[in-house]
Amino acid sequence: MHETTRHISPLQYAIIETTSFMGIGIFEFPRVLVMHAGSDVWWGFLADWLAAYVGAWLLLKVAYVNPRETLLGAARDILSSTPYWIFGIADTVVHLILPVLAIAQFSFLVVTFFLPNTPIWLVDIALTAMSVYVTWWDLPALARTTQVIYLPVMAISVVLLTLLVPYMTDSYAAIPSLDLHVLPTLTGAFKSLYIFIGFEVIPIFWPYIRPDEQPRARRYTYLALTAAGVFYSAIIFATLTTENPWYLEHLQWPAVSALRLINVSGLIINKLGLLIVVLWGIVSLFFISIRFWAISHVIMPLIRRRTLTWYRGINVCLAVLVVGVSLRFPNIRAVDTITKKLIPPIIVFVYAYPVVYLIVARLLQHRRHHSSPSPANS
Amino acid sequence: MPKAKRPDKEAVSRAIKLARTLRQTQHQMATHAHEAALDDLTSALDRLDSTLTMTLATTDDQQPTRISGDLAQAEQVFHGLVGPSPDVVFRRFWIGTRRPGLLVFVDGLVDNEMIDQDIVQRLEDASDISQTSPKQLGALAYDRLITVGHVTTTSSWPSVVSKVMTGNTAVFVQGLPRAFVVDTVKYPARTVPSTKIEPAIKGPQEAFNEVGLTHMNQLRRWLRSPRLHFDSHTVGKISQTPVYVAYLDGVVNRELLSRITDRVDRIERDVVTRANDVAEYLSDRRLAVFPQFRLSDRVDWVARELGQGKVAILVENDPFAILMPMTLVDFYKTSQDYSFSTWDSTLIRLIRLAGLLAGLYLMPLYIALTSVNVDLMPTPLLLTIDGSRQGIPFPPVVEVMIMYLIIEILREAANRLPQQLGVTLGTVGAVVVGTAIVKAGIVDDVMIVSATLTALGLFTTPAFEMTTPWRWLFWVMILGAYLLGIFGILLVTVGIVAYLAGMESFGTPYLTPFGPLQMSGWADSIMRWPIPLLQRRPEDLRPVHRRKAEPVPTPKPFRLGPRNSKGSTKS
Amino acid sequence: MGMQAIVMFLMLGILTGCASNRPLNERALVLVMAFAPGPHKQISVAFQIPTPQGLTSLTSGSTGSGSPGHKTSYTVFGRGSTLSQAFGQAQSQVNQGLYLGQLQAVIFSTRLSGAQFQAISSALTRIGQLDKTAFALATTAPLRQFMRKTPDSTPLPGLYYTTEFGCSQCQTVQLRRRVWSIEKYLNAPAQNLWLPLITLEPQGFHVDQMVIYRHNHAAKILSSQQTADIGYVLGLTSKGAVNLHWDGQTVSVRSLKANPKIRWQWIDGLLHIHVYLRVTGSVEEFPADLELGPHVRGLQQQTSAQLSSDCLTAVTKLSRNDLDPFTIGNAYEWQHPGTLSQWRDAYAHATWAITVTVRLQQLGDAT
Repeated sequence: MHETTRHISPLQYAIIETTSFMGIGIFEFPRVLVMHAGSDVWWGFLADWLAAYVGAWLLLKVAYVNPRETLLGAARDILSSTPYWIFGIADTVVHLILPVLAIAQFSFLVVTFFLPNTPIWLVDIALTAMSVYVTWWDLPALARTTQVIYLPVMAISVVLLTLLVPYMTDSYAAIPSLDLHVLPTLTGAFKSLYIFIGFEVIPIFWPYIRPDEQPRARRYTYLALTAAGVFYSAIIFATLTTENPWYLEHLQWPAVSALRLINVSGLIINKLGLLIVVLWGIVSLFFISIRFWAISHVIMPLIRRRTLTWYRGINVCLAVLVVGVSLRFPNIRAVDTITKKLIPPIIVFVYAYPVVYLIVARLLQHRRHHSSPSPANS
Repeated sequence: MPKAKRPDKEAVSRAIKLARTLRQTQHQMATHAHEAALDDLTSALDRLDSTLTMTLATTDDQQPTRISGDLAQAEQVFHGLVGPSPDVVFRRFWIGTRRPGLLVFVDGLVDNEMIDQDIVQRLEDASDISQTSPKQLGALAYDRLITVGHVTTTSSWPSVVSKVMTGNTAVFVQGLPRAFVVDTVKYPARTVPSTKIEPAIKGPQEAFNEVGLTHMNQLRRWLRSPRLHFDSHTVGKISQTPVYVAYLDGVVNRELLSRITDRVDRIERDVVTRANDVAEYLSDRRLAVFPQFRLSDRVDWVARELGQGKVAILVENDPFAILMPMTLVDFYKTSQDYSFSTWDSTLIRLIRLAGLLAGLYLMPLYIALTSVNVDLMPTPLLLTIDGSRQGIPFPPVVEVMIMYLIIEILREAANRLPQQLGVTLGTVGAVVVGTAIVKAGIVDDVMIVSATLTALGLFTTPAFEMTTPWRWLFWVMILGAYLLGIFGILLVTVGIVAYLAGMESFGTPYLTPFGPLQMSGWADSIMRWPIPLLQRRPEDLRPVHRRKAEPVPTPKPFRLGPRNSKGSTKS
Repeated sequence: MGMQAIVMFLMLGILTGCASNRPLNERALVLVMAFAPGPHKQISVAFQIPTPQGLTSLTSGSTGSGSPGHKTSYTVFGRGSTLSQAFGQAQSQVNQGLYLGQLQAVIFSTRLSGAQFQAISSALTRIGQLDKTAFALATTAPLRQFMRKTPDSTPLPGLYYTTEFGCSQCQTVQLRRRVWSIEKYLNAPAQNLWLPLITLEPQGFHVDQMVIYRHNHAAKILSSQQTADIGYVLGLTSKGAVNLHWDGQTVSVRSLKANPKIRWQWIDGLLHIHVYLRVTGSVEEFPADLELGPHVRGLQQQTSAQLSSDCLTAVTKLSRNDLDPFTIGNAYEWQHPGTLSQWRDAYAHATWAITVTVRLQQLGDAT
């Protein structure tokens, strides 16, 4: 570790940011949105996309207030002890819920389509163990691994989506509706905003970018959201036109069901589309790894332990906890129910805390400005 | 192994004290008379003294005493140190006709002609020295008599002894409390060989031999610049092996260099016999599966790597130079890649990559597709495999184990056997394994194909040390494939990437240029761009100057037409 | 140390068999699955599985089907009032697990009731490892008779479907339909499912007709000519043929392939559906004593007229029967949710217009 550079490049940062939300929403999307918004699905998605930009803008503001400090460290500066702890615990819980849901969802998916004879605990343990292993050498290694794996995975996903073109028979479904129903569209948008949830890691990773590269990283944040948005749009287009909208509503994992129709003759693996399950499983894996990293970096300052051994220990404990909880889900229906219940408060939390944080920071700065000339907070 | 009996330190000290007391008594007696009778006693005591002193010195690692100017004592000290070694030669002679001298050298490591003509003959022929004092004689010998280029004088025993052990000749003069150390080194060395380990079809073929000095000479021929520096270190408390840290000053990152030399200096080991003894001390992670240094015996390759900003460590007696720091792709580059055209080299590199992928993934894929993810295969292929597996008693994973074991045993046996027998073994192996095992119904046909490809694939790696990690990780991959099919294979792949991403060799990320992504590094990784376009040194080595070539535009097309010839004929 | 642990783990894994993954030769590979109604509203199911002899005959290169007494596949039948009972009965006859991941075809009897068809299709979507890209076909033949048939062209009956549907432009009408589309169309509000009809012939099978389902039961079996005509409008026909009379002689235009576009509009509360077909084709039979060049335009016009009238008859017949294999009803419902009954009514009384533009691309080398 001693010779490791602790910094990550803006590109690595952008990839981590994308991975931090892709892993959970990618499988189910756009079922919930179509169910609520119907033919206004594109407008609902645009609302989500816009909300993601707004969220990223807010979080970048938070990062801008204190660019040298992780979010929690910065919170320590502006919050008193009790709110600081409450904030830390809330942050931990949010980050813990997401990997539990991701693991539970993914393991049911794998066992349904890919490994029907394999016990679910084996899938859970293998996935989580590998997630912990990816975090083993701390951030630079995590960033590099993500970089090396994530880009090819996404490239293959795009290729697979294009292979779906011959199956896109219901092209009418992709035409945006001009008859907008605002309320159901927004409801759908809110309920499917989880596709972008996870980008709240922005301020956590921000201090690991070299100060001179931070402006570039800011641009990359928006670019990453744009790329993700385009990718989600491709999924909406592909699923709507391949499965018709009514069938799509019946499918638990519409994108996977669509992609598994791909059958390319002449290859050793001709049902290429089914590989999407495992490829996106890798995205889930990084999603979980990034959560583990984030949680341990929330917990470590709280308990004032910062060594690598503690970091690893915390990650292993988290993994055990997450696997234990995710194995409690009897079936995918239970996962769905819990997701529906938990995601709205998480969304509210993710949007509320930067706002509260910024207001508090502004107030404090105002007060300090009045009491003594303080150094600029930039 | 029985432990050598260590002499009791206190007892030895007591013996020395006693010897000194005896000598004082002898001096007192000599002033009175009985000189002749006491001579014997004196020499006996001297012998005892020096033997005990040296014994104590070697046990305690204390500095031996300084040179006294007494030839008998000098001989005793040497005898005491080297024991009854027949290769250490002691020769008494006369300088001029009056003064005795002593030559000590190790037979076989020295140039005998030099000793005869440039030392012994010159000193014996010296005249006009009858009146000179030992000191004057010393100066005379240094200035006029010994006609060898490199002569030093020293009064320290350890220095003399270690130099004699490396092929120098020590010249002692009676009464002079110093010794001449004459460079008469001439090792029995192989002539400069051509490389057999890293063969190339075109390009330089020269390899290092075992002699450190030749290593340096060879490198100097490639890099004729004063910037080529060799930092000399001695490693091995007993073996005293010279180790040279070679680098290009003004290119290599100074911090990297100081880290490496620091680690070389920290090596605490009695005997160092090979480069690997040194190299394994330098790695960041000792238990890492992947090699963090490359051993190369190609002079041109070492010179090239030095030019990139790397550091080479040359170890005496080992024809392989240690190259550091290394990244994963560095192990997939060969000298030949730069001796052929871009297209050829790129193609070869892609084939190496394909070989690696085949070697690592083919058998796991076979297991995954035949026992876990059976639905992924195209039906005709599946039915063919199913047909060939009818009646095979073992599951695919056991088949893989059997086949892999056979291949590894054949490979190792072929390595150990003389070359001519190795060919026979290959044939026998191919026939026995290929046909008999299928006929016996132990392994199916498709498995034979994938086993062969696996074995060949992994050995397309140019650096042999790189095949080992993949051969280990292959089993992890098999486990992944067996338990979780394609998903397992992917998980293990992620694990391997994470492992590689976590590795660093002297601060250089092992996975560059892929993670961290460095587009400039791609020009010389999976592909090899034209040499004029490879203008920058690897970013991860943080060299002092990144640019290694100035951009030269593609030459404008030149037409050799009638006008050119007209001009030349007219003139 | 780590490696030793891994090797130990590997050995343990293999010895304990903690993943119950069976090698493929220990699975009963079902290549064809068929459903038919049984007595007393029961469902009959049949699984066709290749025999070891059949499989080994594939590797040794000989077609095992030729030699008598050399069975290349066997069929397991099951029957029950529910699908799971039928499956259970079939499974009990095989000592290996029935494996559906390499399914080639699923055959539905046209005599299945709507409820049965619905139950089967919904069960099929729930079997996670069932190959959704298997071909779906309908048949009128009795189950046992159908399953015992081995076509002359393939060593295994299951491989017939791969060869039949493997080439995308080889059939007259591209009647391939995959299992997943059944559930898709059953969920669609307006569009009706169609399946290719497979019939028994002395040499094997024959596929050139389609069955259109109304909601979940087979409603109409189209003749092969009707199938080809509807195929133009659906964009499925790739080797259509028209025979014309030209100067009292027969002229044959073949390899007709249509690129359809369907538009609709409301005029005075009535639905007008306009189909534009851009068709390419080649002249394959033309009187030898005539020069082709001057007649090309006329031929194109006559082919267009012929196709237009044939297709119009076919689509009108379907729409009068309230059968809609096209996507227009779905598109309307998607853009105007909740107006389905209005659309249905209008569709049944819609006026159709078909504009065909034929371009004869290949005229041969004799002019």
